[in-house]
Amino acid sequence: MISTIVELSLVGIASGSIYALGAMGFVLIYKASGVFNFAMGEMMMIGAYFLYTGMVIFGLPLAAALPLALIASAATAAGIERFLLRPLLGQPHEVLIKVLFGTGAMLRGLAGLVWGQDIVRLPEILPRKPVFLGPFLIPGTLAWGMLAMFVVFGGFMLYYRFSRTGVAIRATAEDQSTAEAMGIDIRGIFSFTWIVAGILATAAGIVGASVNGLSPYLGNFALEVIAVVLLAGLTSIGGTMVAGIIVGVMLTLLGYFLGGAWQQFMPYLLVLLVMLVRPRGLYGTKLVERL
Amino acid sequence: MATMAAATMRTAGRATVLRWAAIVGLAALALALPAIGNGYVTYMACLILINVIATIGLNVTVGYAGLLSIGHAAFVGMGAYVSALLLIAGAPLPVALVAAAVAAFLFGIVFGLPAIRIKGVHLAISTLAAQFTFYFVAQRWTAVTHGDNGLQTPQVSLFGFSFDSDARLYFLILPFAVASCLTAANLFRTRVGRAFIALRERDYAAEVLGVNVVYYKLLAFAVGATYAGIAGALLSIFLRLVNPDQFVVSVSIFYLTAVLVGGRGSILGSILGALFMTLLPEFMRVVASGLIADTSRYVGQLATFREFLFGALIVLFLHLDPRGLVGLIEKFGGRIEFRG
Amino acid sequence: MTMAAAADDLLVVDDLTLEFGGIRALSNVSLRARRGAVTAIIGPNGAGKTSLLNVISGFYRPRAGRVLYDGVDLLARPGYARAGLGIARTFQNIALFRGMSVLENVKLGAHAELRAGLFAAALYLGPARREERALTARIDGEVIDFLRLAAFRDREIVGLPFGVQKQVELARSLAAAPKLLLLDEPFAGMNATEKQAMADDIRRTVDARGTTVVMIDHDMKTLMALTERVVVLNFGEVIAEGTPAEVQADPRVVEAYIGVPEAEEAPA
Repeated sequence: MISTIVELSLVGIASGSIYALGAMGFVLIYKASGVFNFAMGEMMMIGAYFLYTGMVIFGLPLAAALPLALIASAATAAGIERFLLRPLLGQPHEVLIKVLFGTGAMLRGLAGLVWGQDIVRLPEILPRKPVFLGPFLIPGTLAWGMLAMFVVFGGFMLYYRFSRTGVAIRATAEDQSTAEAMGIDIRGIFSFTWIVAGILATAAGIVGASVNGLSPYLGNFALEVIAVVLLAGLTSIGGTMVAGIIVGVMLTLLGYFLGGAWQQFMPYLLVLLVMLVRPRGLYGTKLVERL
Repeated sequence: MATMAAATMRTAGRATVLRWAAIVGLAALALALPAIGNGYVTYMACLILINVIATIGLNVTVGYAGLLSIGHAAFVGMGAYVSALLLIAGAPLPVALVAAAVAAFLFGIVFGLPAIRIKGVHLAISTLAAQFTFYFVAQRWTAVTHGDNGLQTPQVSLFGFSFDSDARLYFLILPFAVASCLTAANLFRTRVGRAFIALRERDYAAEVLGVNVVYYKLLAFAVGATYAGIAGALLSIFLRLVNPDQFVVSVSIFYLTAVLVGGRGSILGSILGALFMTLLPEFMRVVASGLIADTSRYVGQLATFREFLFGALIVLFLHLDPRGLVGLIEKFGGRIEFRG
Repeated sequence: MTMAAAADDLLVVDDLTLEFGGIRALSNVSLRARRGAVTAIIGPNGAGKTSLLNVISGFYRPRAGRVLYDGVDLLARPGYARAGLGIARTFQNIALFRGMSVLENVKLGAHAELRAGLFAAALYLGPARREERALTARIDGEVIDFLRLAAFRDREIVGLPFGVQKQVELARSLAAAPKLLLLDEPFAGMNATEKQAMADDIRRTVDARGTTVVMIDHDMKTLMALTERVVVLNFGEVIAEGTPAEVQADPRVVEAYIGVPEAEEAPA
């Protein structure tokens, strides 16, 4: 029994780290431009489809297809920010949220039209062979995915904390007008954070697709990501990994003991609970509304 | 001075006469519709009217009160299921309708509870989560809802008059649609409606003016839900079938698009939005069958394209004119009296 | 400060301390507002004036202290109870509601007086309509005409000149015939003519209705003629109190204002 739980927990940690990466993209955009990106799941999905196009449709090797996919996603993200969001800057958040919600639907529809509705598989990027962690067995894709995610996460955190651009992003997130007064190019930061978020989303999408297969509805696992984001609190990037692991473990354990349907439903329940009990999440700051 | 006043009175008089003429004309058209149009027209009219009722509800919550609700389909579903269950159990029609409205009202309050503590995106997500919860329960509580198989409602009758055709059902639905428009418009002539609008704009200012923000937020959800519940009940009667797939997220998106396209915070906008959204898929189907010889191959694509289109419409109208179709009409035709 | 709460003090703020995170916005602030009088709160930007008003309005919870209104413990009441008790306020940056006309905005000020519930409102005919008509008549006579807003009565808020919007804001606060009027920088952003008009309106309100006014502003010149009593805040503390003349001569007040670019006039 214990060994099952431990094994499940390890699987949970692995899937949680994937959620965490997607969550980081959410939090990044929210911190920098104050917008909750309802289209995040679809950005993950499109990113994975770009890779699919490169590798499966055009037969390119990973080394060529991956950079192309990342560039394509970056362009898409920048395009969304520049053409769909920025013209509406200054409007209340409700408007921006609805725009992104609509954008997500648009991307879903577009993906369905271009690539079809059926689930497709990405070629084996992450070795499928199960990995042994001591006596415990983890599916290969998950294990390598987790490793990849930790690397990306770690790299990004270092960049965010220590690089000049990272500081600029944090400054913009903290106080837009002051950051602008200090000479930071706010609009450039907006574009940049969206591009980075797009790249992170692609990474998460590719790993997610490797584990679960790819369809226009990949974005639905964004609900798990949203649960992580809300649990972490919308403003903490570091917190997303902790929250991701918690959610991942919880979902895996509950899914095992209560069955697949409950596992699907759990994120929604979790979201509701967090909203009702502690809306700011684990690490979020309590916003004091200065009038 | 006196002549100016008299002139103003005359133009005001003329505008009022025009308004009344338009109303009478529309009423005549509405009453004669089943006689004028064929079965298809009557069927579509029924659907449109049901959607108008639901859209008005969502407009109250989202358009007027400014709360983000992406789970409206759950309210429609609540009304549909309650009504269906009661009708199957043999309850009379009025009971089923009232019960559906009450159930939806209560459900709306529950849905709205998070709105007390959270706003904006948090609220949107929580309504989304609640919507999925509803779907989950509808699908899994097979003992009551029969899961994916759904429920079949019997034919309804009132005082011996049996609603056995679309035309008859049309005349059942029409008064509810008209009543929905009137009651909603009335709300906004009173303190209740003003409080809702104040919520949307600056709720802290509303609070100090005496508006109990918590109470009115819950009320906004509940009122919106009630309209949706009535729409759902009528839907269950009209379609004779209720199943979970009628109340998925894309249906919520449908209603949200209707509000945004038609014009948020406007009764007329709700009507236009519902009209537009209900007719759009039909229009697309007609266009598609005109352009493509064998449409059956593309049936799956059509649903996908619809999703794309709805998303694009939301984005487009938010950029173009947040006041939606009503705003566009006003730009060309001058102010319309329907207050928003 | 000793708090001998006189019977003719409508509002008593007693030893109020307010904190945001680690920052003290208000420290042991006390003040009294006499019935039917105009009390002004002045101080440099960031002194805590608006925060004080926000505590009285019920937006912020203070760490310590009391606010007594006509003997009632105001802090124990929910925010929306203010209007029913006869307290009204305006906002520095104008908090009018778009999507409604001037008249409707003003009517909202009387929200607490009205009784129509959901069903009455949905039906409209009957009690709700009577109520609305009575309210409209009263507001037309007592507020709209009083503040010369008749020309703008049915206009949308959006697009109205700034000065008019401020008048509408004042009108809204008068809609329920309040006993206590809290004005947050009513003169901000106005030119000399507008300021004088606003000051006259406030004076007329006080004279005609005996309203107690507590107002915040920077403009000493306009305030001088308007108020009987001035309280000076700096860094969240009361540093001086008295008649306008006394306060202007107070060296601590002069010191607080020197070097602050926004100060409208250097005290004489």
